[in-house]
Amino acid sequence: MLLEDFLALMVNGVALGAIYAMVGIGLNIAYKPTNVFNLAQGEFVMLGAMLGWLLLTYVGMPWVAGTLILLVAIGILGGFEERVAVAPHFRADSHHHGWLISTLAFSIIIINIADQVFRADPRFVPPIPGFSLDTIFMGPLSFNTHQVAVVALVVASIFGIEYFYRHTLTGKAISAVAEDRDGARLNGINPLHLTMLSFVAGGAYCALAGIIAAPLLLASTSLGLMLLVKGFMAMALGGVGSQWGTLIGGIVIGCIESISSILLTTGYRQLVLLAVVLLVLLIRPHGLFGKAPGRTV
Amino acid sequence: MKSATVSPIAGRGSVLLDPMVLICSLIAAASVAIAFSNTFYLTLFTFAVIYLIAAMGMNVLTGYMGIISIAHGALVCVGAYAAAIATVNYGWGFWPATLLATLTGMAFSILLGLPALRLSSWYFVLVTIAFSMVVPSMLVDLRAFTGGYGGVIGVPSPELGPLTGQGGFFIILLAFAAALWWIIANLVGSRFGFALHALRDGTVGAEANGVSSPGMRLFAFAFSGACAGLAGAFYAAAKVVVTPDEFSFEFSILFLFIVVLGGPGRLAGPLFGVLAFFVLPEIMTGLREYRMIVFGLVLLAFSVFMPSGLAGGLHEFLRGRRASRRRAQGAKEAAEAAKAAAGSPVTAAQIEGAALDVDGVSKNFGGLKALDGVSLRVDPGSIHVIVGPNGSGKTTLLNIISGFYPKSAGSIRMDGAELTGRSPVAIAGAGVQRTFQTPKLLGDLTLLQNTCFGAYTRERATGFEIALSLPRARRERTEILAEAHRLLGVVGLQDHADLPASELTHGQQRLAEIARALMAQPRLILLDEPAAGLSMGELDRLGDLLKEVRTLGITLVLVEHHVDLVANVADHVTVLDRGAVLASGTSADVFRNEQVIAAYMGGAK
Amino acid sequence: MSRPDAILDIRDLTAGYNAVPVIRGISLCVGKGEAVALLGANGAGKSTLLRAVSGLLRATEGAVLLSGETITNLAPEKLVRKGLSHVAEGRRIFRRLSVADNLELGLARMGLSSAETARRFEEQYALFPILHEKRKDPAGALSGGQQQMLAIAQALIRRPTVLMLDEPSTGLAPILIEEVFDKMAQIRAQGVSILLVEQVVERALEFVDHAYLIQGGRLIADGPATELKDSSAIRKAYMGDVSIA
Repeated sequence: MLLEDFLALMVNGVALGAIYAMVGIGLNIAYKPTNVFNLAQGEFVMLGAMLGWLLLTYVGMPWVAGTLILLVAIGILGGFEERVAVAPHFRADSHHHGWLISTLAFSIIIINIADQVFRADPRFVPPIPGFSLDTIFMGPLSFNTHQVAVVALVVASIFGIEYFYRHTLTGKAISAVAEDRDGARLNGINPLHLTMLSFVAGGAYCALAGIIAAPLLLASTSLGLMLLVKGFMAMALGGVGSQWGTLIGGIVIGCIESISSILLTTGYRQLVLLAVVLLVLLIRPHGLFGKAPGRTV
Repeated sequence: MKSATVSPIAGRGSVLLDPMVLICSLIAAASVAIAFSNTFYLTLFTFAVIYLIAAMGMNVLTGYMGIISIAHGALVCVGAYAAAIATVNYGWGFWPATLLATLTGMAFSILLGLPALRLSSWYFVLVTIAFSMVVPSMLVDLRAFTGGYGGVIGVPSPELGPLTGQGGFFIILLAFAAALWWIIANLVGSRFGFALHALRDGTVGAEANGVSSPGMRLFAFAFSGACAGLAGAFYAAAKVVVTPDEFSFEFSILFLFIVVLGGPGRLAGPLFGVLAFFVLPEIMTGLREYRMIVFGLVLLAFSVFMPSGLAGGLHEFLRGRRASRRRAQGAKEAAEAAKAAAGSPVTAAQIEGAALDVDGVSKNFGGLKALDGVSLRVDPGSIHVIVGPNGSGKTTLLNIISGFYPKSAGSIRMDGAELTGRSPVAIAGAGVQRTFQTPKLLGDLTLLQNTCFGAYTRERATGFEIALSLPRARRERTEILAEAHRLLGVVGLQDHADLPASELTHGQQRLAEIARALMAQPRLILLDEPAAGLSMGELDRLGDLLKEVRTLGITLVLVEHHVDLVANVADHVTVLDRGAVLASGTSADVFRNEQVIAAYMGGAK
Repeated sequence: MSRPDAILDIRDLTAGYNAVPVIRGISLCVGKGEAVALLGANGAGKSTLLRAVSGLLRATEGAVLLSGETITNLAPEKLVRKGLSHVAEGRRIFRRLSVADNLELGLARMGLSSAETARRFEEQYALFPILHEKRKDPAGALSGGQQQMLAIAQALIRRPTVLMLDEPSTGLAPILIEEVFDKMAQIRAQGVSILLVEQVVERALEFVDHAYLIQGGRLIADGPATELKDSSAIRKAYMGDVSIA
């Protein structure tokens, strides 16, 4: 393999990995105050991509306006999901992980409605304005500016999220709810508001992931499940709750996938990824950067 | 789809009159009659029974144990291909190929489950989603082996003696389904089923009762995978041709749908689920395109509003109707049972209680010293009570003795054998039972079943013997049922034997936990605040019960606040304060000690 | 038992878990600027009472009035804005956040100006200088006594009219217990009414004006602290009949 080819694959892998990391971070956002993984978030990414096509390509709206509309719309959908599929389980105080089934059911509903509306063809979504998909050569490196934008956006968003959790009152309140729900209530914090807010934010963040991923991956209704699994792998490798870990996990997944794409066919590629994740989880059950929760009796 | 088997939970009364069994039998009979009326229905019901076999396996993992799997369809697929390739490409007979398919399904299920042995079960959901996406792609990639998109063509149908043709195949399937139903019924009504339930409700209570969590999980993965593989082989035979696109992601979702809709953790659940799955499309033929949307909505509605599924709903309905009729009859039976139980010894055999030596045990949590060099000696067959103010380290000490916390220093010996460093499961196996501040009974199971569960560590019949209801398993089961009834009489709960544990009052749950602990015939019982929340009457009964247990020779260690109870039963009292032993002696000595009174009431020293 | 000058007025309160009542028909009153102790053995229902008052637990019967307004079963997050602060047992601070962040959360949803917020911080730092010194440290790194101070400061920063404290001395060395009581005396001097649940009975009785004794979820005695101190009722509440026999 030529150095140029290898570097091109690595660049592609890092860009893909950044997208996977965004999905994983979206899962983390909704998880933090709720301890619930929203399995419908893969479909939120898909909706971000498909609505991106609808608003930007089909309707022809300006990028920023279209993106804002779909972030709000999918954020609201996330909040709605929290009301119908997650909040009832909190009220029932059930220990049976009922939310796994209800969020999965929600995702089945979304993908099948989307299938009816959009049909299965892949669609083109334009890159972020000011960036392009044209290849730039720089010594042995080749890349496009949209790839750079995606990676930069993920890094910036992680800084933003960490800043939010550490330095804003709402962010601290979310940390407080995650640590001690009753204790937070005694300080005047309503956990239900923050649970809802986190689902809205997780939804919007995934929608953003969808619209910036679409130019690289093409928008199609089958995108959601694939990205949910890859996003989960990124998060599981990095460690639940660790945004930087998730980014590294995503890049590892992206690079393995990218490099193996010239050596292996689709099935083997997925098999290798699954094997890597199973192996890491066997050796380090809480990921590369995660912490084991304390035991309670 | 035969179902005239013994209800797993034989309480009192005739099993044949159980309306649930009656309904299942009627469904089965009607299905068979319809199936043989024409070939269209025969084909339809052939697939229904195949789905039923797969779903029954999944119900063990997802229903009874609560581990949600999306890969079940993919495992059926793996089994189908294993059978197809073995018969078509290698000329194997159907039955050896079926065995291969079963083993293949089992092996893949175990492989997927390995990380889930240690992790929270949601990891398993995502790993199984990934797996069900890998399988169809791999089938295409391995085209030399699997025929790629074209698939494998010409899988033979099973034949067994005179059973040939489509009708014979259907009868064979019925026989397999009935056998599987019987095996699952045997298992879930045994200590294995109770252990699965216990693990679904959390590992702590299960481990304290001697259930090894990885072992049981492995069993559930293996069993459900084997059922999927078996169903796969039949699926391949019924289809004749297997191709990758039959096994889409939706195929995997379908089994989750069947289990959740039917009633997870209910014996009849998969039957109702399969029925609903085959009836629903008939109702909405015009909505064919929107099938999956409807499935999603139904799945969401059931997970939120009716988590116990159709079978659970029907069960509740029947119970409500029967309750009034049975109450009158129950009261009479209970009176008789009480008469029989009164004066009966706690257990027939005398037990040699264990001596416990706690020597210089310390425990640090971060910088906090919860225990600081605690030593105490418990004589065999005595009642030793540990008292002390909040935060003095009493429960921490119990948790160290029973293996839930590692000690920071010191040693704990039972009859000279070191206990520290051993797992809670090993310690339970050595004859140590414990109760918790909040009773850890299995709310869905009856009080009688909860009591039987106590015998987990001493039952000798293997899973194989239990599954096939071999003589030793039957004998043991009879003995344990009799013993459980008797112990419930001893604690005064014989009237409630068939009630779900969740419907007992707090005080009754505490007494039930003691009955369960006694079922193990332990040599040492650790009780964490047994008197908390008891009424005056229950308190008296508890005191008598503890003394009665002592006469058998069982050693008792209590953490207790109720000073009157302590004075009534204790042979020896140890007072802990801020993690250290403040005083030790008879209750009379200790409670007259001004220093103890001061500590108890928090007086500064 | 209710009195016209009561700030916190609890009437016939019954509450428990899973429909099993832990406290039954308890009535008690805290007057303006008064300190009242709630005493009883472990498991008597003291913490349950506080949880039912602050709304963490649903009361099935009875009523709670704060300054004459009915607050029965009001959600805790709403109640704190009405002037009732509950310091739960076990030093329930947010260990992963800094000391200053913990105090800031104490003011969450109060809608104060930044100048007022700064003033409130100053107040607490003046009362607890150690918290100022450690304001940037994660709360989990504080010593047990400092964590308790932080938990109290977090409740006080809202300037409550009533402060409920659940066993603030648990697990503390005697010298630190004394410090906690000193701080409580200062708080009380500012006019805050205090309802105190304590294990350290003698010290608590020196501190409060009035005390209530509960046993098995019921009120068994109450009276001025000075009278109760010498009564056998207390000893009975803690030690059953044993020590008197």
